[in-house]
Amino acid sequence: MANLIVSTACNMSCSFCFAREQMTGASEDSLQFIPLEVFDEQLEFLARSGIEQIRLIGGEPTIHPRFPELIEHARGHHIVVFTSGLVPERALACLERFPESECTVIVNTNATRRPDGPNATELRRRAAVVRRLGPRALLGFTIFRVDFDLDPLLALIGESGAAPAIRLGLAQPILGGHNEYLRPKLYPIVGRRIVDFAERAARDGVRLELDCGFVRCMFGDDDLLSLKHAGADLGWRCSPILDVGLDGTVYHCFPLAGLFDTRLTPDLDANRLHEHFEARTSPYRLAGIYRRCSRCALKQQGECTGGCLAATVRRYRHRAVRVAVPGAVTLEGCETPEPGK
Amino acid sequence: MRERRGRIVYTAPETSSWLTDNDHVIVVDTAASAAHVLEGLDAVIWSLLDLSYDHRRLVDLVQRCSDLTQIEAERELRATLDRFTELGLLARTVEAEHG
Repeated sequence: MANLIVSTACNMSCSFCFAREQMTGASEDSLQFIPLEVFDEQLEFLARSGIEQIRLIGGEPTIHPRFPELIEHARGHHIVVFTSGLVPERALACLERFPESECTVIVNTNATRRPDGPNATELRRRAAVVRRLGPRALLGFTIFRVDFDLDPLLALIGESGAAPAIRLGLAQPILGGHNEYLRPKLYPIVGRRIVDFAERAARDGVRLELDCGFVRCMFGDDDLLSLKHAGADLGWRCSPILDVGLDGTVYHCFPLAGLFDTRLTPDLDANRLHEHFEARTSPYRLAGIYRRCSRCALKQQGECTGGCLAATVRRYRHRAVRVAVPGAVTLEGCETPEPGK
Repeated sequence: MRERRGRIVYTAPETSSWLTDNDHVIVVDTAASAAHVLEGLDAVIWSLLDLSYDHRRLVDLVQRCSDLTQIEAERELRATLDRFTELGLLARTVEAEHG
């Protein structure tokens, strides 16, 4: 899997956004949008990596002035577009023409320009876009607080004919940045609410898909059975996503941007990039988001990664440790202290 | 070779970072892309270093934690600091006293 960042501009201002450090704000500045020739190079990277799915992210990818041409260049593959749902008409018309088997538009339904969440206008415009996309639309929701409400999504799926699934993500912290994110200590509360919702969703024929960063222990054993019964797609994973920037910078993922970044060169494929990131991140992966993770049997067996690596890395700290041990030293600096003398 | 009073200074390199889990400490050396799990008295000593205690206080606390005499605690602490240095968790320098 790899995501191509085709726009660093965004028409939203989400408090939980973990790409905000890489974004440049909304404007018509051409430097914010991937040039077609660079996009073609990145398609070549996907091809030599054997990756058939083309995933376009931003910022907001659909505000790229040449979005229809990007889509045309990617034709023949399954295209996945990650969007806030406020899609310009020319991009929407282009996506509408795609057969649903070749195109998935993941609509983040709580993306917003407003600090207090989407307003009526944003919701209305997003709903209109989802209706036009129909089964191409897969609704997503980023959980960054415990008081989230997913019920409106069931109504929207029912009236729009969107795919009968909801992709749930947990807002994760940016390293060194300031975004709103869900504290791991709140995960069990969120887990309980997800289970309640999954049961209601299943009655409407809608299943849940959990994005990366979830941990197994946020659900009790009975809750897990309920989720499986509700058809939820469960996973307790965190691995390099490979977010490829406009300038060829490859990030492990947005939340970890700045720590393990590397450059895309013509000789690199996704396997080698994975090896790079796995080698660099493996020391940190001994731990997880909780103090108990490193001794957890599920983590040791590889069933749970212990949550988002960005949240784990934030647990590490460096302090200026310095201790002076008195003793006799030679003038050349060869020490000979003898404890107790 | 003439000897003078001085001290051995142990410092944690800028490339290291660490966290405390339930019963151990994990130290990551980003330069070497390596991690070390410290347990038992090693974890205690690292945690005390992290609290910026001076040598005398460290010896005192190691003595209390491990039921050792003061001399044994001092040796144990020194041996542990040297082991941390061999692992690359600490860097060692020698400073001669002035005068």
